[in-house]
Amino acid sequence: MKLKKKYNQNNLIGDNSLLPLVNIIFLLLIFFLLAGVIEKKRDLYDVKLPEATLEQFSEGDGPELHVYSNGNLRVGGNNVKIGNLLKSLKSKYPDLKDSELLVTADANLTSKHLNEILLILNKTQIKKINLLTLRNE
Amino acid sequence: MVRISLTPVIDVVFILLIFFMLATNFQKFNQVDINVTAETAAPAQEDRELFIVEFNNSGNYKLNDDPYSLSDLTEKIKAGITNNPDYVVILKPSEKTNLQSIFNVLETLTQYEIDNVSIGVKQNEAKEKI
Repeated sequence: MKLKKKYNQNNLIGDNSLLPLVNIIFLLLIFFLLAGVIEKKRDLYDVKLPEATLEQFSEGDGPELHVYSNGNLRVGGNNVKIGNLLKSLKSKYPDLKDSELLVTADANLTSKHLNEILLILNKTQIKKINLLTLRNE
Repeated sequence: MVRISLTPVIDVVFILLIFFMLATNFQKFNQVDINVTAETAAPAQEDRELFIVEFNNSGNYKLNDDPYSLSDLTEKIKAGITNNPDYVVILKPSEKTNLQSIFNVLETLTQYEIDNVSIGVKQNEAKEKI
């Protein structure tokens, strides 16, 4: 005997109860779509960046130097001593002279340490030195 | 009655949500181009009007050795450059001044459309003046 498929009201109720969940998920999705930016995650190596509202930005994969608040340095993910900074930069980035160096320096870095680093970088005759900051809205 | 099940829709939306949650970056970065002026380069600046700004973390500012507040200092520079567009502002933070304070000054100067700003570097750090 062929049974007539019964209209299952329970299933319909079950699906309908999911609608608020779907609504919330959609809202979250729209939020992430609008509020966020999809871009390559920048590795800051625990450097706490200074904040500024200055609006200048250029994307690039140029040479990068990380400077910690105590003056410790990192070139291409490796720790370097200040005496070896020039050598390390040149060995890691052979075309350093014609490139723009991005310095990711800690907000608490003292002027004394910054002075030492800039003096060395000045000797390399790098085309441009950029300091990375967090954009303060 | 043909019913479309919501479950596959929820699956897809969940996957999209997880993707956007993981891939989205809320931190926005700036790259600030900095000009460096070495002490030895000072004679080359002779024909330009020089504004030397000394400051420290405590909020003490000096413009060409005279103490000012930051707003007065920027007003003074702004007034000075109106008639003379050939100028350079050299920031000389004290030894213990942190980078955030340097950016705060840089930012204030930029707000007043004072663009030609350099960070002064010196061979031998002098003792703190201010």
